[in-house]
Amino acid sequence: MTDTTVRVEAPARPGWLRDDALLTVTDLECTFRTASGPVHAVRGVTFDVLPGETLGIVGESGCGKTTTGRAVLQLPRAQGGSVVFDGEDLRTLRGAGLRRARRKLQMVFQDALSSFNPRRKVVDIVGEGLEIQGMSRAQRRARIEEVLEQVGMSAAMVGDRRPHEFSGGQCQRLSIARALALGPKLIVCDEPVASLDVSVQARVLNVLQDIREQNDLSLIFISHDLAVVRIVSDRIAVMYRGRIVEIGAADQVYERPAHPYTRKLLDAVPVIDESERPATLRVEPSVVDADWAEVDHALVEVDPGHYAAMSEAARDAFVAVAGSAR
Amino acid sequence: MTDENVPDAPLLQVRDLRCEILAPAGTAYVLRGVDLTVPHGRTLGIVGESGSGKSMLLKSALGLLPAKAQVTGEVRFDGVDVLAMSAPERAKFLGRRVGVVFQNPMTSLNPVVPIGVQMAEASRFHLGLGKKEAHALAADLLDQVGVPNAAKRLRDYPHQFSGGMRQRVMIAMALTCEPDLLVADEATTALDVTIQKQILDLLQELQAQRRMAMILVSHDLSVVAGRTDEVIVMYAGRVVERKPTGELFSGETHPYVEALSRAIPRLDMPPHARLSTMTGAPPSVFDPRPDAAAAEREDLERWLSAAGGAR
Amino acid sequence: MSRPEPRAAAPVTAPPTAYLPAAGTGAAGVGGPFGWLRRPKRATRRGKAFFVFGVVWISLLVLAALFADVIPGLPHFSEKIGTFAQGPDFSSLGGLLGTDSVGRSNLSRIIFGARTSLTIAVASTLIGLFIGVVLGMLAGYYRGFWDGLGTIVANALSALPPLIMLLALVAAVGASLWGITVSLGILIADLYIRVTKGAVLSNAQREYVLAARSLGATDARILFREILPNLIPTLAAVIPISMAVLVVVEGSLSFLGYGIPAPNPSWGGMIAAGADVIRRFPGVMVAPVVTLFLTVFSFNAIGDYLGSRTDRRDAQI
Repeated sequence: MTDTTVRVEAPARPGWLRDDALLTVTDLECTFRTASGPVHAVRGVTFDVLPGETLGIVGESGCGKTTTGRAVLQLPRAQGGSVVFDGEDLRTLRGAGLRRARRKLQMVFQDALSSFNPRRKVVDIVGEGLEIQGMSRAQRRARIEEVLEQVGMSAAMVGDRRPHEFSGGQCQRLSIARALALGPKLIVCDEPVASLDVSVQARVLNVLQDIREQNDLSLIFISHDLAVVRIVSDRIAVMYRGRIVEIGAADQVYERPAHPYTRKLLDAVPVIDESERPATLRVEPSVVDADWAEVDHALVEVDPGHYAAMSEAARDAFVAVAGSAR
Repeated sequence: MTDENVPDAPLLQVRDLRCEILAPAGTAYVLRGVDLTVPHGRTLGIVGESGSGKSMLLKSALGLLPAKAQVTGEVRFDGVDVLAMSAPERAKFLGRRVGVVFQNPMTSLNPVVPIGVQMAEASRFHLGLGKKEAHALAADLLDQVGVPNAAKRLRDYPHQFSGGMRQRVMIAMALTCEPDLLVADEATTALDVTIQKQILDLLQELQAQRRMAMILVSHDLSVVAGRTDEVIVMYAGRVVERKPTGELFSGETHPYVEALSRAIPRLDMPPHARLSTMTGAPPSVFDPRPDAAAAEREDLERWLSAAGGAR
Repeated sequence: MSRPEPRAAAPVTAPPTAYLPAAGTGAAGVGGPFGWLRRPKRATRRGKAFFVFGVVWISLLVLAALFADVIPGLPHFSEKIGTFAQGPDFSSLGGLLGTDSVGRSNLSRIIFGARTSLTIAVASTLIGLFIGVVLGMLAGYYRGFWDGLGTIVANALSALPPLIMLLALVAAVGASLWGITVSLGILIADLYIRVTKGAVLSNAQREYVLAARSLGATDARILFREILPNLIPTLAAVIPISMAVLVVVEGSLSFLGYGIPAPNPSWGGMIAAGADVIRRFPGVMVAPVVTLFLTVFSFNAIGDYLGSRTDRRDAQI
């Protein structure tokens, strides 16, 4: 018996997705309705995060990185694609199921102060997730003390005070403590250090490293600050106008940036010491996609695990020239 | 950037500038004796974290603070004692010779007035230009700062410009009276990285073209590092370091500057790197701390804490 | 220029608490459940003086109304204590404000009239508050259908000329205490729907609501434990003002003769009776008019002061 159905080729799974990932986001689409028409904030974003790994998402304003981070937590639910976390597609969950799955996925917001209810005590805010889950007051107190210590504070130090009585850095650390309280496996950090002074920023970043190690957490770290993303991430994705234009290990993306936009970013970042910039910026590949800003190229492999949205010709030209800049 | 025709006397000279503000919670010692010098045609960078007084320094020196703030000290602009003038005199004098670009163009621009009218204000007030000439000047300036379709865009309102474009408009406004000094107070902080570079490049280009002196104020040491001749670092209302930019880290580095630079992440650091942090916090702005030397000793401990051992 | 090699970090320690603003000092430092009330904001000194006056006046009125029956020496409101339209007679308590056109004590009738006015003002406010806050919260939080419903109801209510609507209602339902109270309550609900919806809208997009949702909070919890407490400052400013409005409306109703029927005295009724004899005895109307004025002024002063204390740049109405 001959099979007369037309066989449709299953779309190839993108090469940079791995099988043992904790979170796999495929073809994420987020569209907002505005007065001037629909805005496609996220257009087909695909990435994954392994257990214990930190993925950095970097890009300028309007690239869709914050929307992506929130869509992972279904805040709000994306319009298309799939978000598979710990085996479940979060987009298919509703109500109680979603609330249960949310326990393992937490978020740290950019403006810590505005992510706190101004009328509640900070201790209660940190324990809010536990209260919602129905933990007893005594258990909550113990767990709150535990997470406060992890971020370098304590219940005694925090007292009965309200959010406006704390500094920016402290607020951010409290925000991290709140996210930790429920014992998540993955935390999405949306520009957590953007509005902080350099010295405070350093402290908060160190705290993030501490809790990451102690709790074996995966992180998605979203920021516009290239240097901050660099020291935090294992892998980095560069976003431009709703799409990922380059993704790879942090070393690969920052030392051998293939995509013209990544190169532009790394060239524009102010640095104290010019030697920080990758040497490959000084060499121009012979073929460059002049239309990279308007046309969506597919992601092609540049190095093992390192992909960039370029035409094959541009990729070949880059590999040829980048090899020599070592 | 040296020019034989430039006079030797500095364009802006500030001596022992102090600023105290009476607040309900006590006296805020915002500036505790600041000295600085800007020669003609040179660029000064002012770096400091929030609360260090860098913005207040500018506002005090230019006399932009309300009378409630007690500003003492000497500020000489081209030899003229600016603080001794009355407020209207000062406005007329400095408005012509100093152009300022602030951080947030949306709040510096009137949202309900077309930018052409706002730009014309300065030239009509200070230069006495007629309406038509002022508009022509505005269009020319917009063109120079790289705004496409300059003449048409004079009729637009601030919200019709993107962040980078708005900042260009602010720069054009600041340049209206051909100032001798251009001040950029965190002018690029709110902008994207690529736009930031464009604006900073533009500022440098304009400065070279017009032989202006420039002051770049930023919390970001790296912004100031590549684009200035001299850098001063502020901490708790005082200047703790003053050096030619190229020599900031050579020779004896001030402990605070060193601690600060250790806290700044580099593009070539490995993943999960830890940064040096300082323990504690800067002194409260209400703390009088009269003796500069004693204050320095107290803070030293805090700054040196960031020089920890290897992990 | 090259930088010194970055060295490893010192251990993270908790910052000393010495530099935190001491609790209670300065604008930021006032905490506690009523911190929002005690924090210095934009109240002017005159506004504060008016506020104090308003509180005193309303308190006196409330006390007098509550204990009217047991005030020693106060004649009953229907008791004739002298000739009609007498001026103030400082020898007796009843005669303090003079007598009305029938000879009854003005003071007594004002105090007993206060019962009516205040009861209606408070009860109607509560009814309007309940309807308005519920509909407003649903409209502001869920948007969509509820927003449409809330807007239609608010617009419908505000489109009706209040006095005429009331007259119609009263003619239909009868001029009983509850009839009038419920009608007024429904009419004032429009104000509360709008105010609540605006406040909820500005709060529902804040990040702390998003944060609560990410922690697993149900919508009900978010509405009642996160958003509602943040509405209290806004509502605290609106409630006294709506009470002022209601006192005037009730006064108008009874002035027109459609208020609570006799023999209960009412301020509006007293003004109406005074208007009848204004040519010959202008003084009769003075007492109820001044009382009404002071009461409405007091409510407005309280509302203004609370409003200026809680004014936040992002409050929308």
